[in-house]
Amino acid sequence: MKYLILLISFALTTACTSITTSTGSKPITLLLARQIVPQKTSSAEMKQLIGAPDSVLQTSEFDPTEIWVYLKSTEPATRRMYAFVNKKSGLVESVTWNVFDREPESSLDFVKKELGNPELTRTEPKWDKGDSAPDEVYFKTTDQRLTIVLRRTLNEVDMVQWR
Amino acid sequence: MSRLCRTLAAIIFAIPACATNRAFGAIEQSCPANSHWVRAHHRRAYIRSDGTPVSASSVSAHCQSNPPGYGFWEDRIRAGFPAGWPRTKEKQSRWTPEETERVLEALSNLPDALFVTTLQGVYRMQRSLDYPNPASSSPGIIVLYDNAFGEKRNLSEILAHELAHEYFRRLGSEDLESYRMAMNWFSPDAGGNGPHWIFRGKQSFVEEDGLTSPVEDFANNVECYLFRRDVLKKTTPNADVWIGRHFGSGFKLRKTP
Repeated sequence: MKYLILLISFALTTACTSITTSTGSKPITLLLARQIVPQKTSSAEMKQLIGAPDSVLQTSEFDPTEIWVYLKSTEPATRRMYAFVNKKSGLVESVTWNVFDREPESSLDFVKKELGNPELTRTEPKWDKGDSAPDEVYFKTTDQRLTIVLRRTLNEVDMVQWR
Repeated sequence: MSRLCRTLAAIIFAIPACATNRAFGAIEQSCPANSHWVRAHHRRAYIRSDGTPVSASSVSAHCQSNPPGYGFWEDRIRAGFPAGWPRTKEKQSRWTPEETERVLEALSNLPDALFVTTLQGVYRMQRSLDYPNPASSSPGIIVLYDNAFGEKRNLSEILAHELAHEYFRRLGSEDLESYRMAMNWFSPDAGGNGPHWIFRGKQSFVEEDGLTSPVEDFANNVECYLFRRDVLKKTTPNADVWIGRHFGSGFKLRKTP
Protein backbone atom coordinates (compact mmCIF):
# COMPACT_ATOMS: atom_id res chain seq x y z
CA MET A 1 0.00 0.00 0.00
CA LYS A 2 2.86 2.35 0.86
CA TYR A 3 4.41 1.70 -2.53
CA LEU A 4 1.09 2.44 -4.20
CA ILE A 5 0.91 5.74 -2.38
CA LEU A 6 4.47 6.44 -3.46
CA LEU A 7 3.64 5.64 -7.06
CA ILE A 8 0.62 7.86 -6.98
CA SER A 9 2.41 10.74 -5.29
CA PHE A 10 5.31 10.48 -7.70
CA ALA A 11 3.07 10.34 -10.72
CA LEU A 12 1.30 13.46 -9.53
CA THR A 13 4.56 15.34 -9.44
CA THR A 14 5.10 14.62 -13.14
CA ALA A 15 3.78 17.30 -15.42
CA CYS A 16 0.40 16.69 -17.07
CA THR A 17 -0.15 13.43 -15.26
CA SER A 18 -3.42 12.23 -13.90
CA ILE A 19 -4.20 9.00 -12.18
CA THR A 20 -7.32 7.19 -11.12
CA THR A 21 -7.41 4.28 -8.74
CA SER A 22 -9.82 1.59 -7.74
CA THR A 23 -9.98 -0.72 -4.77
CA GLY A 24 -7.79 -3.56 -5.93
CA SER A 25 -7.79 -6.15 -8.65
CA LYS A 26 -8.84 -9.74 -8.38
CA PRO A 27 -6.29 -12.50 -8.97
CA ILE A 28 -5.55 -12.88 -12.67
CA THR A 29 -3.75 -15.75 -14.35
CA LEU A 30 -1.48 -15.52 -17.35
CA LEU A 31 -3.80 -17.66 -19.42
CA LEU A 32 -6.72 -15.40 -18.59
CA ALA A 33 -4.69 -12.31 -19.44
CA ARG A 34 -3.64 -13.90 -22.73
CA GLN A 35 -7.22 -13.60 -23.85
CA ILE A 36 -6.50 -9.90 -24.25
CA VAL A 37 -5.63 -9.50 -27.91
CA PRO A 38 -3.86 -6.23 -28.68
CA GLN A 39 -5.42 -4.18 -31.48
CA LYS A 40 -8.65 -6.18 -31.06
CA THR A 41 -9.59 -6.14 -27.39
CA SER A 42 -11.02 -2.85 -26.15
CA SER A 43 -10.39 -1.43 -22.73
CA ALA A 44 -14.05 -2.09 -21.87
CA GLU A 45 -13.67 -5.74 -22.84
CA MET A 46 -10.46 -5.98 -20.83
CA LYS A 47 -12.30 -4.58 -17.83
CA GLN A 48 -15.03 -7.16 -18.28
CA LEU A 49 -12.46 -9.95 -18.56
CA ILE A 50 -10.09 -9.20 -15.70
CA GLY A 51 -11.77 -6.42 -13.76
CA ALA A 52 -11.08 -2.76 -13.22
CA PRO A 53 -7.44 -1.69 -13.00
CA ASP A 54 -5.96 -0.52 -9.73
CA SER A 55 -4.81 2.63 -11.43
CA VAL A 56 -4.82 4.31 -14.79
CA LEU A 57 -1.89 6.54 -15.66
CA GLN A 58 -2.29 9.28 -18.17
CA THR A 59 0.69 11.42 -18.92
CA SER A 60 1.52 13.82 -21.67
CA GLU A 61 4.64 11.77 -22.38
CA PHE A 62 2.63 8.73 -23.40
CA ASP A 63 -0.24 10.57 -25.08
CA PRO A 64 -2.54 9.35 -26.65
CA THR A 65 -1.86 6.22 -24.63
CA GLU A 66 -2.87 5.50 -21.07
CA ILE A 67 -1.54 2.71 -18.88
CA TRP A 68 -3.88 0.39 -17.03
CA VAL A 69 -2.08 -1.02 -14.01
CA TYR A 70 -3.17 -4.19 -12.18
CA LEU A 71 -1.36 -4.82 -8.92
CA LYS A 72 -0.41 -8.23 -7.64
CA SER A 73 -3.07 -8.89 -5.03
CA THR A 74 -0.70 -10.61 -2.62
CA GLU A 75 2.10 -8.07 -3.06
CA PRO A 76 0.61 -4.68 -3.84
CA ALA A 77 4.03 -3.05 -4.12
CA THR A 78 4.33 -4.84 -7.43
CA ARG A 79 2.39 -4.88 -10.69
CA ARG A 80 0.82 -8.12 -11.78
CA MET A 81 0.45 -6.69 -15.26
CA TYR A 82 -0.07 -3.49 -17.14
CA ALA A 83 -1.60 -2.70 -20.48
CA PHE A 84 -1.11 0.21 -22.83
CA VAL A 85 -4.43 1.44 -24.15
CA ASN A 86 -4.88 3.83 -27.05
CA LYS A 87 -7.32 6.45 -25.84
CA LYS A 88 -8.49 7.35 -29.34
CA SER A 89 -9.27 3.86 -30.56
CA GLY A 90 -10.03 2.45 -27.14
CA LEU A 91 -8.00 -0.65 -28.03
CA VAL A 92 -5.29 -2.35 -26.03
CA GLU A 93 -1.87 -1.89 -27.66
CA SER A 94 0.32 -4.15 -25.56
CA VAL A 95 0.29 -6.18 -22.37
CA THR A 96 3.20 -6.80 -20.00
CA TRP A 97 2.85 -9.68 -17.55
CA ASN A 98 5.36 -9.73 -14.70
CA VAL A 99 6.59 -13.10 -13.51
CA PHE A 100 7.72 -13.75 -9.94
CA ASP A 101 10.26 -16.27 -8.79
CA ARG A 102 8.02 -18.66 -6.90
CA GLU A 103 5.62 -18.95 -9.80
CA PRO A 104 5.88 -21.87 -12.23
CA GLU A 105 6.05 -19.35 -15.09
CA SER A 106 9.52 -18.34 -13.87
CA SER A 107 10.73 -21.49 -15.64
CA LEU A 108 11.23 -20.86 -19.33
CA ASP A 109 10.21 -24.39 -20.25
CA PHE A 110 7.03 -24.13 -18.22
CA VAL A 111 5.94 -20.82 -19.66
CA LYS A 112 6.70 -21.94 -23.21
CA LYS A 113 4.54 -24.99 -22.70
CA GLU A 114 1.80 -22.93 -21.09
CA LEU A 115 1.78 -20.63 -24.10
CA GLY A 116 1.40 -23.56 -26.47
CA ASN A 117 5.04 -24.13 -27.38
CA PRO A 118 5.30 -21.37 -29.98
CA GLU A 119 8.39 -21.27 -32.17
CA LEU A 120 10.71 -18.78 -30.53
CA THR A 121 13.91 -17.10 -31.59
CA ARG A 122 16.49 -16.31 -28.95
CA THR A 123 17.97 -12.81 -29.10
CA GLU A 124 20.68 -11.41 -26.89
CA PRO A 125 20.86 -7.64 -26.88
CA LYS A 126 24.18 -6.09 -27.81
CA TRP A 127 26.14 -4.36 -25.12
CA ASP A 128 26.33 -1.06 -26.93
CA LYS A 129 25.69 1.40 -24.15
CA GLY A 130 26.14 1.75 -20.43
CA ASP A 131 28.74 0.24 -18.15
CA SER A 132 26.82 -2.92 -17.39
CA ALA A 133 26.44 -5.88 -19.72
CA PRO A 134 22.77 -6.58 -20.53
CA ASP A 135 21.34 -9.35 -18.41
CA GLU A 136 18.21 -10.01 -20.47
CA VAL A 137 17.66 -12.61 -23.14
CA TYR A 138 14.61 -12.34 -25.38
CA PHE A 139 12.63 -15.18 -26.85
CA LYS A 140 10.37 -13.94 -29.61
CA THR A 141 7.85 -15.40 -31.98
CA THR A 142 8.53 -14.94 -35.68
CA ASP A 143 5.98 -12.13 -35.97
CA GLN A 144 7.57 -10.52 -32.88
CA ARG A 145 4.20 -10.15 -31.25
CA LEU A 146 5.11 -12.26 -28.22
CA THR A 147 8.27 -11.90 -26.17
CA ILE A 148 9.46 -13.81 -23.14
CA VAL A 149 12.16 -11.94 -21.22
CA LEU A 150 14.63 -14.12 -19.31
CA ARG A 151 17.04 -12.86 -16.67
CA ARG A 152 20.23 -14.59 -17.67
CA THR A 153 22.00 -14.43 -14.31
CA LEU A 154 19.20 -16.08 -12.40
CA ASN A 155 17.86 -18.07 -15.35
CA GLU A 156 14.35 -16.91 -14.51
CA VAL A 157 11.60 -15.50 -16.67
CA ASP A 158 11.09 -11.83 -15.85
CA MET A 159 8.21 -10.84 -18.12
CA VAL A 160 5.91 -12.03 -20.83
CA GLN A 161 4.84 -9.33 -23.26
CA TRP A 162 2.56 -9.35 -26.21
CA ARG A 163 1.29 -6.76 -28.62
CA MET B 1 75.30 -12.88 -12.52
CA SER B 2 72.99 -10.04 -11.67
CA ARG B 3 71.06 -10.77 -14.86
CA LEU B 4 70.62 -14.40 -13.77
CA CYS B 5 69.45 -13.25 -10.35
CA ARG B 6 66.93 -10.91 -11.90
CA THR B 7 65.59 -13.70 -14.12
CA LEU B 8 65.30 -16.10 -11.19
CA ALA B 9 63.61 -13.44 -9.11
CA ALA B 10 61.16 -12.71 -11.91
CA ILE B 11 60.26 -16.41 -12.14
CA ILE B 12 59.85 -16.77 -8.40
CA PHE B 13 57.71 -13.65 -8.22
CA ALA B 14 55.58 -14.75 -11.17
CA ILE B 15 54.70 -18.21 -9.80
CA PRO B 16 52.33 -17.15 -7.01
CA ALA B 17 50.52 -14.74 -9.32
CA CYS B 18 49.93 -17.46 -11.92
CA ALA B 19 49.00 -20.04 -9.35
CA THR B 20 46.41 -18.00 -7.54
CA ASN B 21 45.31 -15.50 -10.19
CA ARG B 22 45.43 -12.95 -7.42
CA ALA B 23 46.68 -9.44 -7.86
CA PHE B 24 48.98 -9.73 -4.87
CA GLY B 25 51.70 -11.43 -6.88
CA ALA B 26 54.83 -10.53 -4.98
CA ILE B 27 56.25 -12.68 -2.25
CA GLU B 28 54.88 -11.18 0.92
CA GLN B 29 56.79 -10.57 4.10
CA SER B 30 55.20 -12.05 7.14
CA CYS B 31 53.06 -9.56 8.93
CA PRO B 32 51.22 -9.71 12.24
CA ALA B 33 47.68 -10.99 12.28
CA ASN B 34 45.09 -8.77 10.63
CA SER B 35 47.63 -6.96 8.52
CA HIS B 36 49.14 -7.48 5.09
CA TRP B 37 52.38 -6.63 3.36
CA VAL B 38 52.56 -3.58 1.11
CA ARG B 39 55.53 -3.10 -1.18
CA ALA B 40 57.23 0.28 -1.46
CA HIS B 41 55.55 2.42 -4.10
CA HIS B 42 54.84 5.92 -5.23
CA ARG B 43 51.30 6.95 -4.41
CA ARG B 44 49.66 9.47 -6.68
CA ALA B 45 47.36 12.13 -5.33
CA TYR B 46 43.76 11.00 -5.03
CA ILE B 47 40.43 11.73 -3.37
CA ARG B 48 39.13 9.64 -0.48
CA SER B 49 35.53 8.46 -0.42
CA ASP B 50 34.59 11.28 1.93
CA GLY B 51 36.01 13.80 -0.52
CA THR B 52 39.27 14.42 1.37
CA PRO B 53 42.15 15.05 -1.05
CA VAL B 54 45.27 13.00 -0.37
CA SER B 55 48.55 14.33 -1.71
CA ALA B 56 51.13 12.30 -3.61
CA SER B 57 53.88 10.66 -1.60
CA SER B 58 56.41 7.85 -1.50
CA VAL B 59 55.18 4.91 0.55
CA SER B 60 57.77 2.67 2.23
CA ALA B 61 57.26 -1.08 2.37
CA HIS B 62 55.26 -1.87 5.47
CA CYS B 63 52.66 -4.07 7.13
CA GLN B 64 49.30 -2.44 6.66
CA SER B 65 46.37 -3.11 8.97
CA ASN B 66 43.65 -4.92 7.07
CA PRO B 67 40.81 -2.54 6.33
CA PRO B 68 37.17 -3.58 6.87
CA GLY B 69 36.14 -6.09 4.23
CA TYR B 70 39.70 -7.26 3.55
CA GLY B 71 38.78 -10.89 4.14
CA PHE B 72 36.09 -10.65 1.48
CA TRP B 73 38.17 -8.80 -1.08
CA GLU B 74 41.71 -10.20 -0.79
CA ASP B 75 40.94 -13.09 -3.15
CA ARG B 76 38.67 -11.05 -5.36
CA ILE B 77 41.16 -8.46 -6.56
CA ARG B 78 42.35 -10.50 -9.48
CA ALA B 79 45.00 -10.43 -12.14
CA GLY B 80 44.61 -11.40 -15.78
CA PHE B 81 41.79 -11.20 -18.30
CA PRO B 82 38.47 -12.19 -16.73
CA ALA B 83 37.05 -15.41 -18.15
CA GLY B 84 33.86 -14.71 -20.02
CA TRP B 85 34.37 -10.94 -20.21
CA PRO B 86 32.26 -9.92 -23.22
CA ARG B 87 34.45 -7.07 -24.40
CA THR B 88 37.24 -9.17 -25.77
CA LYS B 89 38.95 -6.23 -27.49
CA GLU B 90 39.78 -4.58 -24.20
CA LYS B 91 43.26 -5.18 -22.87
CA GLN B 92 44.23 -6.28 -19.41
CA SER B 93 46.58 -4.33 -17.23
CA ARG B 94 48.68 -5.13 -14.18
CA TRP B 95 47.71 -4.08 -10.71
CA THR B 96 50.26 -1.92 -8.95
CA PRO B 97 50.67 -2.00 -5.15
CA GLU B 98 49.33 1.55 -5.11
CA GLU B 99 46.17 0.52 -6.94
CA THR B 100 45.39 -2.53 -4.83
CA GLU B 101 45.75 -0.46 -1.68
CA ARG B 102 43.55 2.26 -3.16
CA VAL B 103 40.88 -0.30 -4.06
CA LEU B 104 41.00 -1.94 -0.63
CA GLU B 105 40.65 1.44 1.02
CA ALA B 106 37.80 2.46 -1.28
CA LEU B 107 35.93 -0.79 -0.67
CA SER B 108 36.43 -0.53 3.07
CA ASN B 109 34.18 2.52 3.12
CA LEU B 110 31.26 0.78 1.47
CA PRO B 111 28.46 -1.00 3.33
CA ASP B 112 28.65 -4.79 3.55
CA ALA B 113 25.27 -5.11 1.83
CA LEU B 114 27.00 -4.37 -1.48
CA PHE B 115 29.51 -7.19 -1.02
CA VAL B 116 27.61 -9.67 -3.13
CA THR B 117 29.10 -13.14 -2.79
CA THR B 118 28.45 -13.94 -6.44
CA LEU B 119 31.09 -11.40 -7.40
CA GLN B 120 34.07 -13.42 -8.59
CA GLY B 121 36.58 -10.67 -9.04
CA VAL B 122 37.62 -7.11 -9.63
CA TYR B 123 39.97 -6.97 -12.61
CA ARG B 124 42.28 -4.35 -14.02
CA MET B 125 42.06 -3.35 -17.67
CA GLN B 126 43.58 -0.50 -19.67
CA ARG B 127 40.87 1.46 -21.42
CA SER B 128 37.14 1.00 -21.80
CA LEU B 129 35.56 0.63 -25.22
CA ASP B 130 33.26 3.30 -23.80
CA TYR B 131 36.08 5.61 -22.82
CA PRO B 132 36.07 7.59 -20.54
CA ASN B 133 34.07 5.04 -18.54
CA PRO B 134 36.19 4.31 -15.45
CA ALA B 135 34.64 0.88 -14.84
CA SER B 136 32.28 -1.74 -16.27
CA SER B 137 30.66 -4.93 -15.12
CA SER B 138 29.08 -8.15 -16.29
CA PRO B 139 27.70 -10.90 -14.05
CA GLY B 140 30.28 -11.69 -11.40
CA ILE B 141 32.93 -9.40 -12.85
CA ILE B 142 33.95 -5.80 -12.26
CA VAL B 143 36.62 -4.19 -14.38
CA LEU B 144 38.49 -1.04 -13.42
CA TYR B 145 40.19 0.94 -16.18
CA ASP B 146 43.19 3.26 -16.03
CA ASN B 147 41.11 6.38 -15.55
CA ALA B 148 39.38 4.97 -12.46
CA PHE B 149 42.60 5.94 -10.72
CA GLY B 150 42.66 9.53 -11.95
CA GLU B 151 43.35 12.25 -9.42
CA LYS B 152 39.80 13.61 -9.51
CA ARG B 153 38.04 10.26 -9.36
CA ASN B 154 36.38 8.95 -6.22
CA LEU B 155 37.12 5.24 -6.41
CA SER B 156 34.57 4.39 -3.72
CA GLU B 157 31.81 5.94 -5.80
CA ILE B 158 32.93 4.06 -8.89
CA LEU B 159 32.98 0.75 -7.02
CA ALA B 160 29.64 1.42 -5.31
CA HIS B 161 28.09 1.96 -8.74
CA GLU B 162 29.50 -1.26 -10.18
CA LEU B 163 28.62 -3.29 -7.08
CA ALA B 164 25.08 -1.95 -7.36
CA HIS B 165 24.91 -3.43 -10.86
CA GLU B 166 25.88 -6.84 -9.50
CA TYR B 167 23.37 -6.44 -6.68
CA PHE B 168 20.60 -5.53 -9.13
CA ARG B 169 21.26 -8.61 -11.25
CA ARG B 170 20.65 -10.72 -8.14
CA LEU B 171 17.56 -8.92 -6.90
CA GLY B 172 14.62 -11.21 -6.26
CA SER B 173 11.77 -10.72 -8.68
CA GLU B 174 9.49 -9.02 -6.16
CA ASP B 175 12.16 -6.52 -5.19
CA LEU B 176 13.05 -5.97 -8.82
CA GLU B 177 9.46 -5.26 -9.78
CA SER B 178 8.77 -3.12 -6.73
CA TYR B 179 11.78 -0.98 -7.68
CA ARG B 180 10.55 -0.66 -11.25
CA MET B 181 7.08 0.23 -10.06
CA ALA B 182 8.26 2.75 -7.50
CA MET B 183 10.40 4.40 -10.16
CA ASN B 184 7.62 4.36 -12.76
CA TRP B 185 9.46 2.17 -15.25
CA PHE B 186 7.28 0.58 -17.92
CA SER B 187 8.16 -1.76 -20.73
CA PRO B 188 5.39 -1.46 -23.30
CA ASP B 189 6.78 -2.76 -26.53
CA ALA B 190 7.73 -6.27 -27.44
CA GLY B 191 8.75 -5.32 -30.97
CA GLY B 192 12.11 -4.61 -32.55
CA ASN B 193 15.24 -5.87 -30.87
CA GLY B 194 13.53 -6.37 -27.56
CA PRO B 195 11.49 -4.57 -24.98
CA HIS B 196 12.50 -1.01 -24.42
CA TRP B 197 11.89 0.87 -21.25
CA ILE B 198 10.00 4.10 -20.93
CA PHE B 199 10.39 6.27 -17.99
CA ARG B 200 9.20 9.10 -15.90
CA GLY B 201 10.27 12.69 -16.59
CA LYS B 202 13.92 13.29 -17.45
CA GLN B 203 14.18 15.78 -14.63
CA SER B 204 13.83 12.98 -12.09
CA PHE B 205 17.13 11.26 -12.90
CA VAL B 206 20.31 12.01 -10.99
CA GLU B 207 22.40 11.05 -14.05
CA GLU B 208 21.32 11.22 -17.66
CA ASP B 209 22.44 7.69 -18.48
CA GLY B 210 19.91 6.43 -15.93
CA LEU B 211 17.31 6.94 -18.64
CA THR B 212 18.64 3.94 -20.53
CA SER B 213 17.34 1.21 -18.21
CA PRO B 214 16.24 0.37 -14.67
CA VAL B 215 19.63 -1.26 -13.98
CA GLU B 216 21.57 1.89 -14.80
CA ASP B 217 19.03 3.98 -12.91
CA PHE B 218 19.42 1.71 -9.87
CA ALA B 219 23.23 1.91 -9.86
CA ASN B 220 23.13 5.70 -10.15
CA ASN B 221 20.62 5.97 -7.34
CA VAL B 222 22.52 3.67 -4.98
CA GLU B 223 25.71 5.61 -5.64
CA CYS B 224 23.89 8.88 -5.05
CA TYR B 225 22.22 7.56 -1.89
CA LEU B 226 25.62 6.82 -0.39
CA PHE B 227 27.52 9.88 -1.56
CA ARG B 228 25.05 12.68 -2.34
CA ARG B 229 21.91 11.77 -0.53
CA ASP B 230 20.62 15.33 -0.46
CA VAL B 231 20.69 15.34 -4.27
CA LEU B 232 18.83 12.03 -4.47
CA LYS B 233 16.19 13.16 -1.97
CA LYS B 234 15.55 16.25 -4.04
CA THR B 235 15.76 14.70 -7.51
CA THR B 236 14.35 11.21 -7.03
CA PRO B 237 12.66 11.00 -3.62
CA ASN B 238 11.06 7.66 -4.49
CA ALA B 239 14.49 6.12 -4.98
CA ASP B 240 15.67 7.49 -1.66
CA VAL B 241 12.69 5.93 0.11
CA TRP B 242 12.97 2.61 -1.72
CA ILE B 243 16.70 2.22 -1.09
CA GLY B 244 16.34 3.22 2.56
CA ARG B 245 13.55 0.73 3.06
CA HIS B 246 15.24 -2.08 1.13
CA PHE B 247 18.71 -1.87 2.66
CA GLY B 248 17.79 -0.58 6.10
CA SER B 249 19.30 2.07 8.31
CA GLY B 250 22.79 0.52 8.30
CA PHE B 251 23.23 1.24 4.61
CA LYS B 252 25.74 4.04 4.69
CA LEU B 253 29.42 4.69 4.23
CA ARG B 254 31.79 3.63 6.95
CA LYS B 255 33.61 6.53 8.46
CA THR B 256 37.25 6.87 7.43
CA PRO B 257 39.49 6.23 10.43
